[in-house]
Amino acid sequence: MKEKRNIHELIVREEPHLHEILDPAQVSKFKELTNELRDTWTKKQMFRTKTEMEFSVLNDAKYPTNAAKYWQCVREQNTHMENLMHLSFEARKNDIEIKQKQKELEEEKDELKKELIQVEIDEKTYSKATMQLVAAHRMREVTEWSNFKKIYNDGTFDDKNVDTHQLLSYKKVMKNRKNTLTPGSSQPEVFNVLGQMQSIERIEEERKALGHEQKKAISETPKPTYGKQG
Amino acid sequence: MATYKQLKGINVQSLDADPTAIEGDVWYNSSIGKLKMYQSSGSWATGGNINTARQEGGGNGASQTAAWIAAGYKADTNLSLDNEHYDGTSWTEQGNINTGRKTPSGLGTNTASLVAGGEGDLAISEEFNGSAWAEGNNMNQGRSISSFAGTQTAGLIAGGWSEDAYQEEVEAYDGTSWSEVGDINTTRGNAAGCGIQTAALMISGATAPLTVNVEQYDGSSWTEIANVNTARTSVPVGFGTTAAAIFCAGGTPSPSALTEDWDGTSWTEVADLPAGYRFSQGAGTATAGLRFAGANPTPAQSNVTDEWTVATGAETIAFD
Repeated sequence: MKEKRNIHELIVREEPHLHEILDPAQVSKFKELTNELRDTWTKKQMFRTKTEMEFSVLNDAKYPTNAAKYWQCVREQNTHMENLMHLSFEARKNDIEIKQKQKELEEEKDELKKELIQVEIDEKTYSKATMQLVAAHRMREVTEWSNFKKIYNDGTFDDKNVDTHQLLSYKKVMKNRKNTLTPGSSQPEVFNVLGQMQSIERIEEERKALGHEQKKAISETPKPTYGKQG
Repeated sequence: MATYKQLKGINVQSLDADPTAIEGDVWYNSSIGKLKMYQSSGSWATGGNINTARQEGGGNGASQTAAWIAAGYKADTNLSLDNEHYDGTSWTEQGNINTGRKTPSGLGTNTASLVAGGEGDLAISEEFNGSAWAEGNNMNQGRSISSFAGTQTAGLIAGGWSEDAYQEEVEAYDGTSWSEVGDINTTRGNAAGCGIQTAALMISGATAPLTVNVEQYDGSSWTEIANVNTARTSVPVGFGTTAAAIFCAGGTPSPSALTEDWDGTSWTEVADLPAGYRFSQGAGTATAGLRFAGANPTPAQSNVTDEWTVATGAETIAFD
């Protein structure tokens, strides 16, 4: 991932001030490690890797159909899109605050107050770098989920209405959950699995008995029968 | 005052040796000429530090040696995405949560965690499966500072703050969806909670003033039980069961170090925490638990872990 932010410059700028909280030997060590720390900060894992998305988030026991996996991709992608939007607003506010602080710094006469304002500017500049890093990873998430949506959308299920696949998918999920119950499972955990399993089987029978068309018919608002008396 | 015979049904026995006893038993050991009592005493010890100091996170755990913390508040307007696991010795970094947030509910274990809600009337929930967080279904009512109990597949969230007011609504999670269940009797938030989905406690918290009320849930409805001794708000910590629990920390409103022990009947003051904390988390049982993170004036966001351990044994009763 190409880095937009220059954390190296921020680390170097903070070095002299580290004397306040570190021993001289530790400051030297920090200086020696500056490049490595920049590299660490840049490549540290944030959110899920592509591998984790595939085997962990979209795990087969919990998302046992392509439809279930697709709709979970929609959910994950939306979360990161929404967070990216909020982050963008926060970053804009942070930028304005930096400008305000810079203006305050220009106008301030008191040396100590000027120092304090500079610390606040440095802190907000570091926050900006962090926001940029988080934004890059959120965009990576949005893109990866887009790719996974294409992979799992094989044309065999309804990709407009999340409800359509759920009875079948949840039936498989509950079977998987039932298989993991042990004598040590707590009463509410067992109760929830068996309760949902039983309900799914009942709903399945009811839908079968009604037939899809009939079910659709009774769900519709009755049409007015003007003038037709029994 | 009740006599020992009225309480236990027998007089204090004179025995040649210490018997197999339970808490509260008193006997005279004739071999050594001492009056003895079987009692337990709990104490706090400092555990490993959390890597990212924070307050108002989501956290929980199965035991004193398996706990987790995710999200929370690091510094000015800085929401944490960090997730860490405790193994009884040290905290280790895990995969980031997707949405940073303050004062969510945290339920479940290290390998099956659930974070739901958060400040700003968040209704979203996320589930951790031991390797990554995934989005779950939303709660029906977005809320923060709620009490919580149970697990990732059998959870309970009670009360809290939503739409600029304390709430009485309770929702149960079955691993798939959230459902409305019986309301608490005293509308409130910022209370402690513990137990399981069908046997939970909601302890103290804030209404308009602070409340000493405690309610017990049986899977259908909430019942008033014995009050705590000191009312607390600002997310005090509860861990244990409806039969044996610990209630500690929180705010009075200043950070509290008080610890109270629940034996199924009444609350008893026991050893204080080394320092007071608001907005911290807890895990474990009434005999081996944890309190971690939180807010304390210096520094504001804490990385401290406190381990609660109860030692039980026969003690000689001394008469001065």
